[in-house]
Amino acid sequence: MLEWLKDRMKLATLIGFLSKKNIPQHKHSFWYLLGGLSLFFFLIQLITGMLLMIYYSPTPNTAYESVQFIITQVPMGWLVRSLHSWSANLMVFCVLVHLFSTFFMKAYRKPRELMWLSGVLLLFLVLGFGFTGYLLPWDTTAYFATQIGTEIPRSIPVIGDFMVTLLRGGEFVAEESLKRLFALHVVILPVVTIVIVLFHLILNQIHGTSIPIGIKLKKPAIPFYPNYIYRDMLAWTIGLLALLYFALLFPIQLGIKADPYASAPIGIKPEWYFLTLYQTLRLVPPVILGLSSETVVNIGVLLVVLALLAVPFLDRKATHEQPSPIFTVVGAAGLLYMSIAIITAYL
Amino acid sequence: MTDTLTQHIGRTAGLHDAGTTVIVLVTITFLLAIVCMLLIFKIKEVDHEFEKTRG
Repeated sequence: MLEWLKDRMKLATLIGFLSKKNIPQHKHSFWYLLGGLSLFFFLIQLITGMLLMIYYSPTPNTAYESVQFIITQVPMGWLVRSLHSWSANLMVFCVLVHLFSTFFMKAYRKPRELMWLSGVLLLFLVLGFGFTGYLLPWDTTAYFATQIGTEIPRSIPVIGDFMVTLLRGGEFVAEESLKRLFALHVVILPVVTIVIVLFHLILNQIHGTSIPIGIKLKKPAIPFYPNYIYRDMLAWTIGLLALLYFALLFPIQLGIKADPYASAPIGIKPEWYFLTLYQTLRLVPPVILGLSSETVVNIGVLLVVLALLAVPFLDRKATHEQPSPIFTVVGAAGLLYMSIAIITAYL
Repeated sequence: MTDTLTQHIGRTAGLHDAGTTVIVLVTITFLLAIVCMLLIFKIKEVDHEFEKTRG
């Protein structure tokens, strides 16, 4: 049977292709596993998301009830929902760690600029999944957090109002918003993400794994197949164990059904990965140079995104295989700011 | 018909019975620990073969 499959699917060619890629072994090799782990959690997202879609109904009158049905009546429905939500959190965490480790190892340098660009794009797509999925249970927190979240782009000059209307499908978060965010969450974002993940993986196969600047290899590089794939599988098993622990010990709850006419509850906070933006909005004075705090933060976010995309082209020293401590310091400052913002938001 | 684990759920989601939670966690930890051990053995085996082919 296996031989038949190998013959019909030309598996020998694929295995040969995968064996050609070598993974360098050094003291920072551990960080390479985070990319595979991000992909693993994305696959869990796809599977659990498809299962949830069987019962979920995206209208304001039925969304909450359908989620309630999933967690109370559908066999293991509560576990599937918990796995979906926790794997989303773990996926964002792994993508962020993968991005920062790539940044600190300067793996974005020539010839891997496109890998970095697609990776940054994947980070924003992953954050997009979190944002668009948040409203779907249609409970109070989800409703008002989305109302606040979709208001943020309004202060962007010229296109602000258009972007808010595009997201909400009207002036307020209502039926149209739910339909739009649902369509983005289950069709548009997954399709775009799968295409970019494939592009990212193909580039990874073509260019191989980067070796950090100044690292002298003491051990020979190992082939991706079969040596490295077993290491990846080990990381995936440990990731699965962590996911099951989170999902079983801290199952995702459902709040009270959203009432759009009620006032927003006090102290609503977004998911942890949006807390840096949330805390920055709270820190910035209401008006700076005649611009509102939202406008200033939106401009700031835009500049950070552009700088992030331009990193491989700005870091000329890394391109010439020389250490670039300024970029390391800037990256460390960014990581420190993110960590402080997240921790202080919970205090 | 709902399964036994889902029957434990009241108004909110999750396992409400501490005993069931412990049994489920111990079982999955045991099973995945075995998978991890098998993978570690496999890694050592393929690494050894790789070293041998390099001479």
